[in-house]
Amino acid sequence: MKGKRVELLFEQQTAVLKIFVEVNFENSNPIKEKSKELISKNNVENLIIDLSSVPYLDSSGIGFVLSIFKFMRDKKGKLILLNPNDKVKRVLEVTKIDTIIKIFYEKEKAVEELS
Amino acid sequence: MNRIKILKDEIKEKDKNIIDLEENIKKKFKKARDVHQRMLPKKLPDTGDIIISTYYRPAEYIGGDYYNVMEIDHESMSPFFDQYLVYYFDVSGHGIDSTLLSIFINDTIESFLKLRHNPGEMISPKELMNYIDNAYQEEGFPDDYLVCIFLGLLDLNKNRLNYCSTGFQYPIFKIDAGKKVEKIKTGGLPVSSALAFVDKTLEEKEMIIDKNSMILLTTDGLLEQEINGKSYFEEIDKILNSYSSYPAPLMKDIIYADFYNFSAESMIKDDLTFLILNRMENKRKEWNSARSDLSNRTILEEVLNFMEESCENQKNSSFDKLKNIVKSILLKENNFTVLQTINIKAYNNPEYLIFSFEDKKNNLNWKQAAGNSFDEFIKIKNEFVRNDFEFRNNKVYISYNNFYNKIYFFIPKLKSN
Repeated sequence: MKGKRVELLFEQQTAVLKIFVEVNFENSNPIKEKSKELISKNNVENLIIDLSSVPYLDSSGIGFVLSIFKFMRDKKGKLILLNPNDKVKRVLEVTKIDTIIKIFYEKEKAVEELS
Repeated sequence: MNRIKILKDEIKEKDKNIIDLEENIKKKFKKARDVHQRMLPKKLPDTGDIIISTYYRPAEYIGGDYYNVMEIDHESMSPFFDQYLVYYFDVSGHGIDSTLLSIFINDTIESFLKLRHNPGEMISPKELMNYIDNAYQEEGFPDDYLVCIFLGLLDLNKNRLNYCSTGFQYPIFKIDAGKKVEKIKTGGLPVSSALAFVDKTLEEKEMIIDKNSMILLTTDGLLEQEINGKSYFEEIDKILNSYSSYPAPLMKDIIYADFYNFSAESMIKDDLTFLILNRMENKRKEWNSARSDLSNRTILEEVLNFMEESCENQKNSSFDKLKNIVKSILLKENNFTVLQTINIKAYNNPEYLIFSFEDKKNNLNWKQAAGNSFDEFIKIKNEFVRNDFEFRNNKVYISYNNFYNKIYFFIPKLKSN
């Protein structure tokens, strides 16, 4: 698979994990491993996952989000999801992920929440 | 020169080893697929006025999907109950690991029924879901996996389905003949080790299964398939609305034919598993063949009379052919000589008649046993699929279940002018 799938950026010292592709059965494992590696290497305490470039999450994609959620929780850190499109938002609502992970639609507010 | 030849030979040898290894892995996966297929129930209960049809196909050699429908054993109180546990689940991934987890989930359900259920007591799908979740968390499986589960208690004395579900993104479809398909939300947090500390509030819901209605239950694979940005979820309504009056076995054939048309040459990305529960207009009529030809002749006469009475004025070659087949089966002619315990069920709906045949003792594979006896029906069925599922000349349509050990003949009735 060519092209960037995941990148860790910093917004006012808050870590933002940007995902650039649909997360599905075929790629969820490498994306998860890469994400965990970036989080560990950069000693990230709180994290925003930017979903604005993710067209869709299947059940493996949900598995990815939950795995990062547990990873951050084990580190006593917080996790926020940012800007899912309507399709991804529907998935997060139907599976009630939105009841355990906060979703924001404005980056500034998400950063403020974690500051 | 010699050095090049040696290197070429080495490469050739290594290529051969790789091919052998690939073959070996394929063989092992094929064996694993056979084991997985054998885990699926070969027979599903059909009782009263309910027909259940299922479809299963793993995305790769094996998968993490599973389904079952089993009668709840109330021991000495069984005559007062007519209850079934309907369940299906989807473990993320399509490998041996997913299959092993699906065996764990299935074993957990069976152990609940053995250890926690007392005859005469109502099973709560919500309680069972909590039991599965607790057992899963106790095992501490890696958080790489998640499980979506649907558990339903089908009570045929009340025509009611009580259910609880976790993780599925797509709804249940309720299809009432002649009405617009209704989508009923399921969803909920999936079973996952990542959620061990989350206090889950499960909901149990209830649905009435009316006469002449169907419930389509499916894992996400069918509906998630996407072609050019359009998912099959956005497409399926068309056929569910158009053929809402067709019975479950035919609806199953229509859904998978339509799905493969939709997918065209694209790879099927996920396991496909769906169940259709169909309540008929009328209760069934049933015959069980006897060992003696004399008794079977009496049954044959009854079945043929029933066919004639139910489909008055039906005169066409495929109807006559079906009558001949019933005769061959009951009198153990042609390829049906092994039949000893043939069970025949008939459902007489206003628009059609359905016959099902099953050899309860020998678990006969009808496709194999029939030889070329069913060729005419297969031809009609192929035309039916090619012609957008429209009936032609009121012919007889054939359908098999997943394991070919049950066969259905579907006879649309001629409309009188």
